[in-house]
Order: sequence, then C-alpha cells, then structure tokens
Amino acid sequence: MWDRIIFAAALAAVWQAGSAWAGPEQISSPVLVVQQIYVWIASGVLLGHVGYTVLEAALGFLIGAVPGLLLPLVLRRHVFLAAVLDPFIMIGYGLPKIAFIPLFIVWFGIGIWSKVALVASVSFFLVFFSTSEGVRAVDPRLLRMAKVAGASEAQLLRTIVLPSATPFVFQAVQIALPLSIGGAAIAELISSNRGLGYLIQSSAGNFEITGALAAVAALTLIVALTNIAVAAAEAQLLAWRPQMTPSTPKAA
Amino acid sequence: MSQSISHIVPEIAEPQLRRSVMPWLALARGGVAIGLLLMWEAFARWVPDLIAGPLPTLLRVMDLVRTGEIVSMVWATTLEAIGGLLIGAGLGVVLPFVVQMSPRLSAVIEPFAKTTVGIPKLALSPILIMWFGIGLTSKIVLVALMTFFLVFVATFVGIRSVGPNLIRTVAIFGAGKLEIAREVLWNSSQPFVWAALRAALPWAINAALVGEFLSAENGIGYYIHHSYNLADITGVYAGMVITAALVLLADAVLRLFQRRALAWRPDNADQTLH
Repeated sequence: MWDRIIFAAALAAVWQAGSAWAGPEQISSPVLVVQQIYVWIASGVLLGHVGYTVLEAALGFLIGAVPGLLLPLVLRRHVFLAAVLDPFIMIGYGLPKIAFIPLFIVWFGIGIWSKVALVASVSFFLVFFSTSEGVRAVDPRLLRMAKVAGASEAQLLRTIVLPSATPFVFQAVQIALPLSIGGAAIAELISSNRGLGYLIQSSAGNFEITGALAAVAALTLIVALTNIAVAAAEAQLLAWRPQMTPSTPKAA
Repeated sequence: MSQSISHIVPEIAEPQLRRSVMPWLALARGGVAIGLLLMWEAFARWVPDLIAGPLPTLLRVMDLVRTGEIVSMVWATTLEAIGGLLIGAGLGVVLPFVVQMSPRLSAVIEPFAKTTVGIPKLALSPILIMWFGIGLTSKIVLVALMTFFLVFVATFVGIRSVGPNLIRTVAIFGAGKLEIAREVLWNSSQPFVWAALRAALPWAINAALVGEFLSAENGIGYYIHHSYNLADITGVYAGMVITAALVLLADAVLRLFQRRALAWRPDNADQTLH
C-alpha cells in the first residue's frame, strides 16, 4: 500500500518538477490541473459538460445494450437464423466504429444524437457477443431437467438462461461502459459544442494545456467511478454465485 | 481475473446444424448480404444528401485506385498504425516480463495499469497534437499509447495465469529467472498476447484515424474529414469503405499469424480471451 502511494507521489513530483523546468505552458503541472478542476467545479462549468457527456453515453448504452442483451435470448431458439446472421454481426463488430464518427455526424447532426448513435453501435456488439457466449455456456443438463419438469421458454429464460448468462453480460458491461463514455467524448472532440470532449478540444485549440489535461482528468475520474459502480452492482447481482470468473482460461 | 482484460475478441461459433442445411445456410447468408446492399441503395435514393449509394461509392474507390491517391493515404494511415503498434505493443509485451521479476513492483504497478487502461486515450489526441505537431509523430504516439495498455494488461494477466506448480517444478530442475521467463511464462502467455494484439489492431487504426480527423496532412482520416468539409458524401463513404476493408484485411492477416504462432498448442487449448 505504501509502495503505491510513494509511486503515485513520485509520478506527481516528477511531473511537477518537469513543469518547473520546461515551463507550465508546455506540460502544465498537477497543481495547475487540480486548480483548474476546482475553478470549473466552483463555476459549475464542469457539471454541465460532464452531464452532457454522461447523458450521451447513458442513452447510447441503453439503446445499444438492450437489443444486444435480448437478441441472443431470441436467437437461442433459432439456430439457423443465428448461423445466418453470425458473419454479418462479426463484420459489424469488426468495423471500426470510432472511424465512422464523421458518418454518424452526417446522419444525425453535430448534436447529441450522433454521439448516442456511435455509443449504441459500440455497445450493441459488445453486449451481443458476450451475452451470446453466456447463452451458449448454459448447462444443458439444467435446461433438459427444467423442460422435463414442464418449464415454458419464458421460465427457462428467466430462471436458468439469464442467471447463468449474467456474469458474461457484466463482462460486456465492464468493457462497454468505459468505452461508451470515452466514445462519446471522442465524438465530441471531432465536432460538438458541449461535453468533456468539446472541453478538451476547445482548451487545446486555445493552447491551454492545463484545461485540456483537466478535462481528460475529469473524464478519467468519471470512467473510474463508473467502473466502481459496475463492480458494486456485479457483486450485488452475483452474490448468489460461488467465487468464480466467467472465463477462467481453459489452458492455464 | 477476467475483469482486467479490457476487450473481447469474438469467434464465430461452430453452428450446430445438420449437414443437409448447409447449402441453405450459404444461400440465406447470400440473401441477407444482397438484402443489406439493396437496403443501402434504397436509403441512398431516399436521402441522397446523407447517404451515397453502393455504386457511386464503389466508383469513387476505383477512382482513387486509378489516380493512385489511395496508395498515399492508405500508406500514411498504415504507417501511423503500424509504427504506433510496434512501439506500443512491443513495450506492452516486454515490460510485463520485466515487472514480473519483482513481486513488489508488480503489486505497485497493477492498480496504476488498471486505472490507466480506463483513461480514454483517444481523448488525449488534441494534447498530443499540441506536443508533437500535426504530422506523423503525434499519431504514432497516440496509437502507441492506445495499444500499449491493452497489450500490457493482457500480457500481465497471461503471465499471472501460469500455475505456480509449473514454475516451481522448472525451478527445481535448475531454471533461473530468465529461463523461466523465456520457456514457461513466454510460451504460456502467447495466447493472451495474440488475443490482445488482435484486439489492439482495430484500435490502432481507429486511433490513427481520430488523429487524422483532428488535424493531418494525409491519410484516410484526412480524406474522410476533407470530404466531409466539402459536403462530399461520396468521398466520406469511400473513405469509410477503405477503412473497413483495411481493418478487416489487417485482422485476417493477424489471424493467420496467430494461427501459425499458436500452431504448437493443442486444439482445445486454443483459447480466446473474453
């Protein structure tokens, strides 16, 4: 623990010393960045930008993740359809969504919806793939047993498939949520008039390194908070499970 | 453990279908492909201001090929992506081996590595452009930053996945730290490294493009952004198609390398990371 604190302090000290040496216009300094964040918080500027970015990320994530979660549950019963769609979804996953930002801007304008669309396209594929895998990993003996006992498809899904797919879903959420926030901010870099990405780009455009770094720091903080929240939610929802990870490497 | 890996590399699941339906499968896939193309064309006719049809897009790409413009822009982007990937992934593979030599250092580094993975590195691009200029360097640094953490964390996890029994056994037979690193850890972490590389590759191209969107003199991203500013939708689409082709091709090549590099592993151990 002490090691870590010393390491962090050393990093900050090196940065601070570097800024004293090279001049703060070039690389800013930890003190300046913290000051900048404080000023932004006090004036309420930060909250507005943070709220905008988080709103984009949340909307996009919901629009992408909900179908991504439901589709594998439907496709579970339609093996042929799933096999037909598989390569297309693979390609869709493989397409570089971030590189498609200009396209989203052409379609949905520079407002909130182009960012929502980007985030949705990113989170859909992540959640879809992870959930599909979770659905495939369901213990077939449990399913057969439940069917013999007369369970309907809805009951199967609710009591067996969903619970056993939950760790896989969380795995996707853990990856998709930070990407959603980051993706929204990146789209804002390219064209926007609000949000943390805009704050970074406009600060950099005015050669205010401190402002740009402060905005990145705020973004990182939000991602970190999100990660903590997801981990807490996972612990809650998976409390019934014995300690294990969804994909312990098979060949360790 | 899986939480620390920040990517998913999906594989097509072997469809559980009878052989007799296989021709139908191919037919249905072809049908879906044609349907998607028709949908694209229909949308292009419906809102021609926002969507360029498949045919004009293809013609534009062929135009770019004929004039040779495509070579210089793909080359610029590829150079940025590969240059950054070599630096970022190279360090990402090597550093964990250095770090693992000292358990104390590993314990110190781990939380920092996890936090830095969470920083949206692409958001740093305006800052990097200020520091390194609008040329090649800023994009290479961006790509390196982007890919380093992905590969570093995966390799780290790969090394840690090695059971202590194997290491102890080899140590009893007289292997030193270096030999353990080379023979045991290196080989065991291979699947992790390859999975991370495949996850990092599209990000490398993404990062190069974002850098080019923001400011550049050449590259696919520059072409897309330039076309966008001229309200030349067909140009935007052509750039996208080229990007998509580049990413899919690069992944196919990398997958080939992956299969060769991991050929020594038994089939059932050929794992993907999730």
